Amino acid sequence: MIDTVKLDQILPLVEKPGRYIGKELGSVKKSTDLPIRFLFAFPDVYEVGMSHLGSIILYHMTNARSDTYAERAYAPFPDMQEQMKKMGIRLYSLETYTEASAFDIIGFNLSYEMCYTTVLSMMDLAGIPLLARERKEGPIIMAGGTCTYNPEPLADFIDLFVIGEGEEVNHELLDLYVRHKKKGLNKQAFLKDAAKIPGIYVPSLVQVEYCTDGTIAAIKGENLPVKKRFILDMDNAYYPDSLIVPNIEIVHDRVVLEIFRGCTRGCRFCQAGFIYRPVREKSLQKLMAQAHQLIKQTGYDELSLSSLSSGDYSCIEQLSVRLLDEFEDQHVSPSLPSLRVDSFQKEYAQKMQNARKTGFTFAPEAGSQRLRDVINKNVTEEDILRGVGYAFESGASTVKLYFMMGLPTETTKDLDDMVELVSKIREVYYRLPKEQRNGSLKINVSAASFVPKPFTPFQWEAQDTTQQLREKQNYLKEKFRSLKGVRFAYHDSPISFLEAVFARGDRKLGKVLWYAWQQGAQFDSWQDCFKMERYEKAFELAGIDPCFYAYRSRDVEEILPWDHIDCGVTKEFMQRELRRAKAGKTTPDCRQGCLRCGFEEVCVKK
Amino acid sequence: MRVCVKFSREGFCKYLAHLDIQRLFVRAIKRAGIPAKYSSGFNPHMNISFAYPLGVGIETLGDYFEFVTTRDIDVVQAQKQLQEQMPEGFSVVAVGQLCDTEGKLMALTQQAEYRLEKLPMQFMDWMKSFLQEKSYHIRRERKGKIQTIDIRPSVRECIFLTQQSLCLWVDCSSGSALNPTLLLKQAAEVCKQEITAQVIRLELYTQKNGSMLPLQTLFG
Repeated sequence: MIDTVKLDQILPLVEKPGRYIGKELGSVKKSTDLPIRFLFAFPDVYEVGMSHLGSIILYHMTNARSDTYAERAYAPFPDMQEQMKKMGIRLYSLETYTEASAFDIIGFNLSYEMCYTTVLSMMDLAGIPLLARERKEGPIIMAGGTCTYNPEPLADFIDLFVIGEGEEVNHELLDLYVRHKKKGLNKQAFLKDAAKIPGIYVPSLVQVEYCTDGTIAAIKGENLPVKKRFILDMDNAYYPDSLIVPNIEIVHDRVVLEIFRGCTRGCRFCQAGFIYRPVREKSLQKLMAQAHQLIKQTGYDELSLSSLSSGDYSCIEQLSVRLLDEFEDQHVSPSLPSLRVDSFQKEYAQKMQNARKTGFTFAPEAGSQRLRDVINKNVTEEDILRGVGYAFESGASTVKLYFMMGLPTETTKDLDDMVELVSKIREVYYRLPKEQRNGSLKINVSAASFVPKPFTPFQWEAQDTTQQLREKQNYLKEKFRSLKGVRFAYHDSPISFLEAVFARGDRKLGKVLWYAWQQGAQFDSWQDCFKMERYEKAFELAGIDPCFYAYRSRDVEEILPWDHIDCGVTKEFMQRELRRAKAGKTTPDCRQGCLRCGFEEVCVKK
Repeated sequence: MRVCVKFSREGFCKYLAHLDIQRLFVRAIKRAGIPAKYSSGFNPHMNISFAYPLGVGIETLGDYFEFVTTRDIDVVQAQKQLQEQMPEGFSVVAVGQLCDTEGKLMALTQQAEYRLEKLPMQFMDWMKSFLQEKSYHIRRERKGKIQTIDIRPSVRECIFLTQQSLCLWVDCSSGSALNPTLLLKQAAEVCKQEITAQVIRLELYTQKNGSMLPLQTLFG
């Protein structure tokens, strides 16, 4: 245990000390004398990590085992790190204030590329050697989450990755660990056995060979490809009947109800739309039971739905109606998707209006129909205008619009069309009779820079250069300036560039991460913390050209750094989708007919 | 029914801010199934109001808040129900009914009693000389303006308990209020060294019939 007297001395000196004390209702108290002590480590601050549903599910699920005590640690913010280092306090768990290095296993969640340096910084704060090969003893370091579909940039640091959903495979892994620990743990022997479990990837057991041009010549190892794990029956999958109720305000401070996994739409830029296939829904009864249980247990007054596209849930109307009805007198406001609302009965439409809304957000993603067809965003201008029209009629005067810049095949014409679309949305508002308008119109336009991701049809595509993206940003900024009531925001292009590098990076990037961390990089998704110079220096020191990863379009025959990971959707399907994209052909939602993406057998069985 | 809750918070939970505590109790009341009244309007919410907000880093054995229920409740039962819903570090000391004719808790509160522990020698010396003074002016910045205030009258009484601890009664009404950490800061400035201490609020008081009584006496 860390010295809590010292901790008491530094907590008054840091911002939001409530982040570092634990003691929440619903956090698990157990004997520390159990065969496995597991630490869930989240490489971001408490408020962000506590809002991550997946790791909260796994936390409770792991604690449901009688042989394991799972605890949590979040990344201390730089001000706290500084104080901890001064006092000699190492990274500790929030449940028992135990040093991270004393745990059997530390599991990191990797939700976004820009958290990688924070992982290193947490390991360092724990006093754990960063390089996997230098760790003969001490905790096994594992990682799971979205980013592990291309785990290669972190291959030097992590002992094993879990590919896919953890509900089943985590148990298999912990069972194996207990068996190994009983006979005296030998890390190598454990990792070798772990690699035999489907869904477990041990990078040290896999060799990568390179061609002289830097591309990959071969990926060699046993038990390859590593197949992603997923559960089939969402109703019988583990879901906690209690949540941790945080003592300080977190990002998603409410009951979050996961309604289904996967998505059938097949937008070609969207990694989640491919890696989380197939679609698996929870039943209406199950969801209602979970909603009631969790509201009762937490005392939250808000509830929101979680999925990739909640409007697509097969019973979304019944679900919405029941949530509104059954929670009305409990003072709970459900946040519901707003899009399909027009098909509701009038009486409920009124109720929906009174309910707290997630806000009217529309994601056309691209400005022109041509480009929307390329990315397979199957929504027409008519759909969008009808949607905002409904929003305005129901009293909204603020809408949010999400676009992307730098999509494959994009031209200036597409950007002009984006401006044109926003201008048409304005007209919809001003066509309303004056007495129906609710104040002055505000349109928040947000344009993210496109980042090509692994396991999408665009995984072979080049990203626009930072220069090109800047020009596009400036172009749009200028155009939107003349539209009154429109606020234009865009993401910083250096971060999108780095995302593109690490999303499709190989093992050689481990060095870059190490150097970047040495330069002080951490919390890189926090604008105040991020400095591009650190990465520039790191690429230089590592002798690596980042443009090779971000700006190069790949041949479909090229061996990709993540080719030994199998997300279930076939490469043939991705190639077919890429060809259709280039031809400007859309692919319908697969609920209208199976497209044989690789999950056809699973979907049929269901 | 007007309900008053007396609570304590000890240990690391002292690092929660006032708004956190407020949120925490609203949720606890909800979980406990106590029929709190919600405000009317577009976005109804439960109103709970505290006698005197507690600063970050200060423990308490006697703090209070009040709220209104939609129907009469059994206060003994409510104390038990609420206690069951408390996160580690918090305790519901008592629940009682407040008379409707009584003013708001916040307006009634006039003095706070604190215990300061683990104090360094230098502070004890400074405190002794402070108590000798008739007035003690400090400069402080409020909303960009620098003002001079006299903090001496706000300290009503001080009892030295041991060589390292003392008890303080200070004003905490809207007219005059003093946070004891300000005394630590002053002493630190004078002694030119860092001074830390454990600060525990023991009780809040109201004036009744000429004498200071703990707020708890308002609801028996």
